[in-house]
Amino acid sequence: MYEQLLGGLSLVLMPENLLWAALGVTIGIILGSIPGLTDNMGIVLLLPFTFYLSPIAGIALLMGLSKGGNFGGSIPAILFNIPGTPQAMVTCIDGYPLTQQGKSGKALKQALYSSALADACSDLLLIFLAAPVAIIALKIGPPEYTSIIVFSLVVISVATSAYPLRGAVAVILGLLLGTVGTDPVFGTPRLTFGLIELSDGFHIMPMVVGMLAFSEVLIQLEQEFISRRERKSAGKETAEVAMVSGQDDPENHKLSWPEFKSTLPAIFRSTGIGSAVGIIPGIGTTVGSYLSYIMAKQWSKTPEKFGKGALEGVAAAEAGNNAVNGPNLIPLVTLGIPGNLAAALIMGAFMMKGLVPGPMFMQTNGEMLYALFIVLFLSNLFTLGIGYFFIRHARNVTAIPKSYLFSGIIVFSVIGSYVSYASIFDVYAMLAFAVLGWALTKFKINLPSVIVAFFLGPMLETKLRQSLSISGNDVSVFFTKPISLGFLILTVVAVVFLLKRRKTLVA
Amino acid sequence: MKKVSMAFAAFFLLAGIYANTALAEDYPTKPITIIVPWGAGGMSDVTARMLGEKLKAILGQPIVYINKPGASGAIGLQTLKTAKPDGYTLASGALTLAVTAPYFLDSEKFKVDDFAYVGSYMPQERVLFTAPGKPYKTWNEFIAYSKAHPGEVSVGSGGAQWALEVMKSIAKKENIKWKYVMFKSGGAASSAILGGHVDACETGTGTPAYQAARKGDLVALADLGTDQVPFLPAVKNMKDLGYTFSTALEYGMAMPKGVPEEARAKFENALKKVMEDKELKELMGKTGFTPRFVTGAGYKKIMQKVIDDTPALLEYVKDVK
Repeated sequence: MYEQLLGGLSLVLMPENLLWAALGVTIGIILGSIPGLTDNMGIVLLLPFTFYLSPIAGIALLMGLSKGGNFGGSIPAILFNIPGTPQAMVTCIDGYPLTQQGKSGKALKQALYSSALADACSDLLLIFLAAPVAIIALKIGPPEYTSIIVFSLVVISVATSAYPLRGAVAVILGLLLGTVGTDPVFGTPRLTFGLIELSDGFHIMPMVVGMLAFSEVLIQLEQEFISRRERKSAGKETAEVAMVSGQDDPENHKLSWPEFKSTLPAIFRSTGIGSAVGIIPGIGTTVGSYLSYIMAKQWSKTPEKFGKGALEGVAAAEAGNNAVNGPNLIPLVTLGIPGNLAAALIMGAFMMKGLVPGPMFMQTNGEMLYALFIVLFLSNLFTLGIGYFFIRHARNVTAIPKSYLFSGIIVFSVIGSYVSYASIFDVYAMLAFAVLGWALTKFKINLPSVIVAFFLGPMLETKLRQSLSISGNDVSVFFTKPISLGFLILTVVAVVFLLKRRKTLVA
Repeated sequence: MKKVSMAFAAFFLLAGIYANTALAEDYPTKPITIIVPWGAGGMSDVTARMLGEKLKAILGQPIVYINKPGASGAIGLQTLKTAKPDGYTLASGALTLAVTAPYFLDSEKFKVDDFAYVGSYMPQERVLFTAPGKPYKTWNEFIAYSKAHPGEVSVGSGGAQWALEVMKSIAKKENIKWKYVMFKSGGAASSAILGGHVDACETGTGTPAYQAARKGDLVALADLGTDQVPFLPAVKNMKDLGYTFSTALEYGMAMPKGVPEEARAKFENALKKVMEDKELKELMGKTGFTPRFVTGAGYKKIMQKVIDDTPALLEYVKDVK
């Protein structure tokens, strides 16, 4: 292994490879920070381009893009309460309140350092523990998946709202929206109203962009109208310019070492949770960051600060979503099974070069594999450096008048929902979801919960029904498999713990 | 708004007329769009892009790819059907799968004449795999074991309803009761069979399960198609085993009907030339793909047969549970 590692090092340390990785990170941060555009889109766009690069340079570009995008999403989440990528939606919860307190610089730095640190740790896991982790990943079959998803959904519905019933409504609504499409076993169209566009259900992008970006525009618009009417009735002509206090105080944009140190436990715990989520293909970064955030709040010494601008909250959300990345590549490099869309696209890039990721790859192209690991690890440094440059300037974006900013967001919302599938139907769906999202916030329904449930719902259904077809409709399969049983017990324990804990918090 | 769209329509109409008149000798004079009816990074997408790189050089025009996944390829094919037949829009991928999808989904069916066929570039066999630790190592042993243990053996599919229906037709003929499991993709099916969560599972060639079988980590029981499995020559296909129904995945390219014959023929020639390219053949071979050129007329015949056979298969297996 060390021989291959050294061989890999000599392959990587050519300026051009590092240059492409840096370019990838830069493009990733830009795309990630624009709501509606994602790193995945960037990968699709640059895929043909990698044909002209050496394999390592090409993959470095795509991996850098994926990493940059993952951090970039947190920039608008913190500055405008609009996540640039779906996984950044948890970062909004504490990031935006910090901006409102005039501490946007502090929040952005916290997000950057947490992202890079967690990502680097998860890459080490990939590099040194790929083989044993792959064995664990294979143990996760349909019944185990089912229990893990049940666990995630129950924890999310109980923990995210002050009223567990509201949390449950959010999750159930998400699950219902997820049933639209084609029945995964019988192939019967469900709730499609005869529209072929709905035969695969709603796409995730229009939903995320509509509910989280476009609906935020609607909410701000509504507030503007209300305040205008109030001003009119009060007889005032012009708006009072609401200055964010402390915006100009440089201290508010620095992140001191004691502050960062206090978030380290949250970062490492979230890295653990995120990595565990990453081992299981398909569960994804959003769930990783959500669960990390929920648990960070439970373990925090100051849980009351969460949701009101806790640095720990930002740290947990960002560490949780970035830690998913390293382990997510494990099934790809060991078995050739892509764990997420970015991995699937990167696998496509490998194959266009005549390289087949999987068990044989480690033997035949070992040096190249280690070269990729090293590029992956070094990309974190690029994220750190380039990200730092970005956030120094990104803060100034808050000075753009809202009318311009929101016009831009509307444009990117439409483009973002259209481009993934080149479908105008998705644009209409996005608009409908925007209205739905706006309405749901009136009922204080947590939108990220709806989205996570929508995302996990079809997987839950598929895995549940696969389990039952394998067992011959015998429900005991969920209780006889140790991993599955373990997660079901964990679900019950978590519910009791979370509900009890809430009581002590109120008292 | 209406004015703007009228202006656009007029512009495209003029552009179309211009393109049509310029066709005969100059085609292609502008970028070509290839619709891939599956997601980015999948087999159809990767092969389309591999070929596209070479086609670009021959045709002298850039190629734009649009991924239109959904409904087993039917959505992308539907998009092609309604596209302008000017030779600048075509679809590429496992079109035999896309054209049969409406039968399994019970949606609007395609006719073979809805399209003008450019040619096909690769057949793909669907292969049934099992883990080495099982009490059966061959097809006959598998059938015998399944008969002796009715309702106990689970068979899965890597996202191809067609292959699952073929398995059902075998069950009916052999009087076997299997448990059927559908997985979303070849990748998901591969991890299920490698992790031992199903007893047997089919996927296409080129998937992780197939790579594992090449390495000896899985056993290939049968080929659900009628051709040969690359690198696994001993595996018997449906014809060898004496079954009526089989899968026939044929990756190829098609244009909407009404496209000028010169354009189609020119593209067909370009595809033929590309398929003779040594570098490309080697690249595809390394990945486990099986490049093979079939003319547009030949591809049309394959599509016709697929469209004719599918209702018969569905009729035959309709009482199989």
